[in-house]
Amino acid sequence: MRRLALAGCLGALLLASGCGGAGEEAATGSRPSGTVVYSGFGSGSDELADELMFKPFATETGVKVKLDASSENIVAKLRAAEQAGNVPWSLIRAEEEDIVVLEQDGLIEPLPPEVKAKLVPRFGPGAVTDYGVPFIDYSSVLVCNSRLVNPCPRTMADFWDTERFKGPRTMYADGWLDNLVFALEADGVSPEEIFPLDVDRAFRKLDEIRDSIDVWWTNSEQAEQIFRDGEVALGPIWSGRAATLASEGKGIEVEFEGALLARELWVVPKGAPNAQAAYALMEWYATHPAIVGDYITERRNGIDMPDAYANVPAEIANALPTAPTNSANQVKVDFDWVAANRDEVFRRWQEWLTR
Amino acid sequence: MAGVADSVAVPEAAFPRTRAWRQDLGPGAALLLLAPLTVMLLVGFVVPLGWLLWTSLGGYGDLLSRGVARRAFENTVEVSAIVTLLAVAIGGFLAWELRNASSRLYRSLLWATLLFPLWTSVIVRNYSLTLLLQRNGLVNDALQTLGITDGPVRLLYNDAAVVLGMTHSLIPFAALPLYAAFVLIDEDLLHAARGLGASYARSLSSVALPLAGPSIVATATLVFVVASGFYVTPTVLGGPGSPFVATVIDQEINALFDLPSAAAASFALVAGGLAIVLAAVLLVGWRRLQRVLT
Repeated sequence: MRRLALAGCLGALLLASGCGGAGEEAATGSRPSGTVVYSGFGSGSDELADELMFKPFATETGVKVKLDASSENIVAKLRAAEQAGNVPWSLIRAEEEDIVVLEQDGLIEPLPPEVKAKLVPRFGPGAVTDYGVPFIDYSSVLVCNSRLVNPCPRTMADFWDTERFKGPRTMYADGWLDNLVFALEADGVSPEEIFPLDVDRAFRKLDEIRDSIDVWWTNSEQAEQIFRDGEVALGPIWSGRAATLASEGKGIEVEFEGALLARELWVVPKGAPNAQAAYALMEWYATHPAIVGDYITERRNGIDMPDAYANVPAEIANALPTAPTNSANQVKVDFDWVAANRDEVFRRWQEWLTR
Repeated sequence: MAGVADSVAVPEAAFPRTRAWRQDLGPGAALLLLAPLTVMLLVGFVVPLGWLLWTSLGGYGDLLSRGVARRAFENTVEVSAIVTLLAVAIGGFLAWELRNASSRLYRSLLWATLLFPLWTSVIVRNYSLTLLLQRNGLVNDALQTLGITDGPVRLLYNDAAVVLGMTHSLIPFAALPLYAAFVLIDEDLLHAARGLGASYARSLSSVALPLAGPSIVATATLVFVVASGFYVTPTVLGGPGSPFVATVIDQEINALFDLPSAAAASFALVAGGLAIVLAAVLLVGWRRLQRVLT
């Protein structure tokens, strides 16, 4: 145990001393050089981005991109890195619900106006924020194995109905926001009235389903695998994984109605090594929509970048969370509410989950 | 070591004392030789631990106010206690069999049973168990084929799965020291007991058990302390309803960046472990405990 705690300290020390400092001399120059340390979520997606984007970018500009799958719990990690006085990442891929907290804590850098000006026209209206550029859109969607549950549930109220829809269920163990939203939907709150979240009401509704959840999944590979193994038959997971499962033709159905639309963006942390090169990578990314299209086709994610869809096969594009038919009835998150309440509600979620 | 040199009569002239090498180091040189280790211990162990203790001071109040942490401590103690009982019982049985086994095949089989869990990577071990225990895994298939259950039973992601996984990991930790203790029990004493009319069971409970008793206590201490620090098994096989202190520490550091709480939880765990070791020392003495630990 002591060992674990020490490992934590050591980790913080490594954050302080390791990997940083790459190509700091480039920060002042106009031509980017050196290395971009990229924090992503791993599990194949960073490797795919490396193959499709970072390697060609390196060939063109000479800037190497180093992968570091640190974006899980990035808020805690960036707080630690800031306290240690040394931020190792030049560019971070993060979820919007984390980014609003990072903004609030002053841990990420606003985009320089000249960079933002170049990025804005490439994306949908309002998609480029003051801090970052959209990387993917995805949803938490209700997935059902029709070979085990027939008919499949269509709404969260159905999912809560354990009498009519029998079958082993799953939910996301760390998905406090998703699960609170789903609980309110199941309780009859219409999508546009969900925010500001009535947290007490949501937890009361969650109490009803708690004992019927067989597996609380903790990472997306696990979510995919438990459906593939038949370990669970219904529950919300991420749309990219859901699309992969559905394409395997094993009776997996995906329901976008009432799903939760989420976004990941690229942001540059305060004190980032070689931020200039990170902005160069952003611009390169924004000006290569065909490559972005290949990426989302492979991962079955959406992107608010109209030009990227040019080469995406229609049957894949129509199954993406951003397809008009799918996005219409999804819940959109009020991130101001999230920023103000995250830490408190997250703790309450953990209390509830481990009770 | 100086005593050795004195007892061996070596002619002075054959090994003249030079400045280059002397068996008897002066206090200065001894301190100098001790310095690297001392510095390493200070820098690598005492200072970080002291810093951790200092950090933890602000965390105890927060930690106690949180249900998650309280439940984690209760659950850790409860599960570790059950695991200790099971591991010592099963490990003790294996160790006793190993002591008595005469057939080479049986002995090899026993050693393999004991050592394979020890040699298998912790990740592989735990994920193999998930494969066995999942809804359409081997165990559920067997139960249904044999007609014991109608449908699949929920075997994974609960305390029972954690107990199973941890017991499996810790049986070698119990069996190996117990084997070392059991082989020291004189077979003639058991024969004598039987010769005086005791049943086999009686000879075990009245002769073998008292002789091995202190070793069993020491072994149980070791197993309990190791069990209370488990992280991977509760994470992989347990559900959110069976938190361990280690998983709470992980969450405090990695999800919430609340270092004081994490440090407080770590220290509470260390203090608990030390208290149990101390109790064992009082009960069976330091020497015997040391024999088990090393």
